[in-house]
Amino acid sequence: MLEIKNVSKNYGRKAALRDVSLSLPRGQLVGLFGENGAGKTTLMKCILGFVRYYGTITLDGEPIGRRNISRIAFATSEHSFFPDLSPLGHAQFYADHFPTFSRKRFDVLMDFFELPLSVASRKLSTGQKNQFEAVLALSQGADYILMDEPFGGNDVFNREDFYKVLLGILGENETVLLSTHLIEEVSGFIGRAVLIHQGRITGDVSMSDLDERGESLIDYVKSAWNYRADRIKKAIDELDEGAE
Amino acid sequence: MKKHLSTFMLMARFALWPTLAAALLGAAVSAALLFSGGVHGSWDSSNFFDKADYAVTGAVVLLFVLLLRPMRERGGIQPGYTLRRLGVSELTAYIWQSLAAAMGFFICLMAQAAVIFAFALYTQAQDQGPAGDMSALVMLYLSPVAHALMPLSDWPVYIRMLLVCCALGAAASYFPFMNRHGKTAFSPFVILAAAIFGGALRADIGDYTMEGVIGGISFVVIGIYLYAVHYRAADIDDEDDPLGLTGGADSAAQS
Repeated sequence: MLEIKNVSKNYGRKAALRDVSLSLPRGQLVGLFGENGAGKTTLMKCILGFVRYYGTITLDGEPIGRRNISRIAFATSEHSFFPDLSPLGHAQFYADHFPTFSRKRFDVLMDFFELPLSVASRKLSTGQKNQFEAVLALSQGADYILMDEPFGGNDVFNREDFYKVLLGILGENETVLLSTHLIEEVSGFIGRAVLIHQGRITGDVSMSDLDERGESLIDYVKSAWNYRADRIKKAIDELDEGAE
Repeated sequence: MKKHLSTFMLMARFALWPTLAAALLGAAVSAALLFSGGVHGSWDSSNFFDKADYAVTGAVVLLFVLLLRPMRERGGIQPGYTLRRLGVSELTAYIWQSLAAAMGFFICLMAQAAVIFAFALYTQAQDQGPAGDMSALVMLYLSPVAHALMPLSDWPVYIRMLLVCCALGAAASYFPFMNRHGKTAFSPFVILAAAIFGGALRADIGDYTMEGVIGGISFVVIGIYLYAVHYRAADIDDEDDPLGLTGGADSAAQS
């Protein structure tokens, strides 16, 4: 269980996270949704210990440190691989550092995405870099896989394929925390949705609960964020009045 | 152990091409400068290899610049995110990177030494040296450039040069380390300039005071960088939190 308790984080005077509490049990595919600057990336960086924070984050009751950080994988749209190292070199390096690294999964996913094995990773296209980042995270053999906007630069078909592969390969004990803006696109693949707005958790719901209520994920998100559909009409009306 | 070896091999891999480029290019320039001048019948032994001095300096500067590139943030890619998730600490990764860089500087200087040695032998073979069959030995001893690279029995120079290589490696590796933390380090360039203009790549025979000073300064530089990396690695995101309003992950986890 990945437990986040009362986590707050400030960047200077700006609060990025405010008293965030969240539990992530094993074997869930969780969508993390929020507008730009809502705190999604910061939350992941707090989990990984990349930034300081107030509060507590534990993995099976233990603070996250060098002893257990290999149980968490991270795929980010910023990309975190070594630019001068080939994918094949990464596989060897990961195998040395992560005892649970699955070379088989790595090979299958590299083959699936038709990624080259021997070129320097920096030479991959943006879409390929995203795919490679995800391949490394999924092959690490981690219990928790944090994915921060992993699909930027990939077309819709590519993304669809990726979701299906993700569902197909994940073991029952693997948890994915998937941060994305593509709410409708991933709604059919995730089991739970967590909403974050202005640094606060504003919603946490299982997709089965939403199904039972007959509510779509996007409607749930809109209501949780007090989305005002009328503001577009209001703005256009104001513009029209100004023009007359 | 496997993790350490793997980390070192990664760093060595990234230092390999810069080292080869600087060593080969520097040696070629050095050979061109020395051999194109021909063998002199009359010369001052102490400045006989001065032409090679430019090549030695150039090779060291080139290697230093090339070593600033690997393992830093480039094109938006953040290798630091992976380095911080390894079973080895950031300090350990930095030490291995510094060691790989130091070996690069050593190899680069040895390439220069090989050219200078070859030219000394050539001069002796042409019977143009100052001391007959001992000419090569005498020339290598008397020239500050050659003596720094091949101190022969002058063992303090070996220690000093190893320390200089390690200090240059530590300085060159500090730049990408700081870059991974979103900052630019200028101190490596100061260290490089100090090494060049402070005579760290030259050694006068018997001047053990100077050996002690340069060796001591190099040792202190290495120590300062190790402390700085240790401090910075623990001080995770100061740049994000200039007012220090947030607590630390470690302290938070204990609370």
